[in-house]
Amino acid sequence: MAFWEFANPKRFMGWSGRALPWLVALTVITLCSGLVWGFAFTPNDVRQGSTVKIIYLHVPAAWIGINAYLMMFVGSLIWLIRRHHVSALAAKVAAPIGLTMTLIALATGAIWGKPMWGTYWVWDPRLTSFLILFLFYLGYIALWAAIEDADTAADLTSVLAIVGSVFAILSRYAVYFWNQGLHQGTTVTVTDGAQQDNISSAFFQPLILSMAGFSLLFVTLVLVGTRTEIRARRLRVIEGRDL
Amino acid sequence: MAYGFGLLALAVLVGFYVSRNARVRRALLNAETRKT
Repeated sequence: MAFWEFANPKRFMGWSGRALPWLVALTVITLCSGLVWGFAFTPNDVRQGSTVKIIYLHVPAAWIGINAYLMMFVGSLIWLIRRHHVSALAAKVAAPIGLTMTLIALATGAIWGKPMWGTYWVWDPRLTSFLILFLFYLGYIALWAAIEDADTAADLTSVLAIVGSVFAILSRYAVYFWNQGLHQGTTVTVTDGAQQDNISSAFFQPLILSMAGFSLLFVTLVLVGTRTEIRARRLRVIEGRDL
Repeated sequence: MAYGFGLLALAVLVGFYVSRNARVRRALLNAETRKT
């Protein structure tokens, strides 16, 4: 089946309905294993003590915060070029997830930063671009809510998603072309499989498992949310009321 | 504290999506039943 066939809402509902139970099970297993393993079964760091275990929330949340916006960027492009409603709805639904993940990353980063760096916040490239990304998420969600006509809302928010994706990319790559700043460089690079850069082996495996769990959670929630939006549209057609 | 905040945020996020999904499904089912 060609990828574009899922732009048909009925086909999308059929496929996603079959996939979701498996995805939910996989998400629960992976996420719980990663977080429990990381929190309860890894050693404390020599210098950071038990504070290092924030990494199992902070890094996966930041990872999803950036990639959710990039997914919204792709979904928005598809909407603008091919006018597939499922794509626009998926982007709409991904925004609150990305917003929450960005908030988790910022909050856990601040809590982690205080004992490690002596401060909750610095205006370094990575943190600043992440804060701007958080504001773009807020703006995107507000713009969807503010415009009554769904197609117009999709058009305008798509432009915002494309503009804001610059900050998603900056968050990921800022440290390569600006001064390093306070935030450490890459922890995990993904070239031929994940490789550890600035992290001990004892922490690396549960971190990868946590990242996989967060990724699966993102996919699962996007599917659930998109199905909800498709049903809501059908309901609006039947009853002519907003949800 | 950070773990607690993060887990709470995840729980609220999942709860929001699941509850909205259930609410819309119920409303659609009722609407389609009334229509027929």
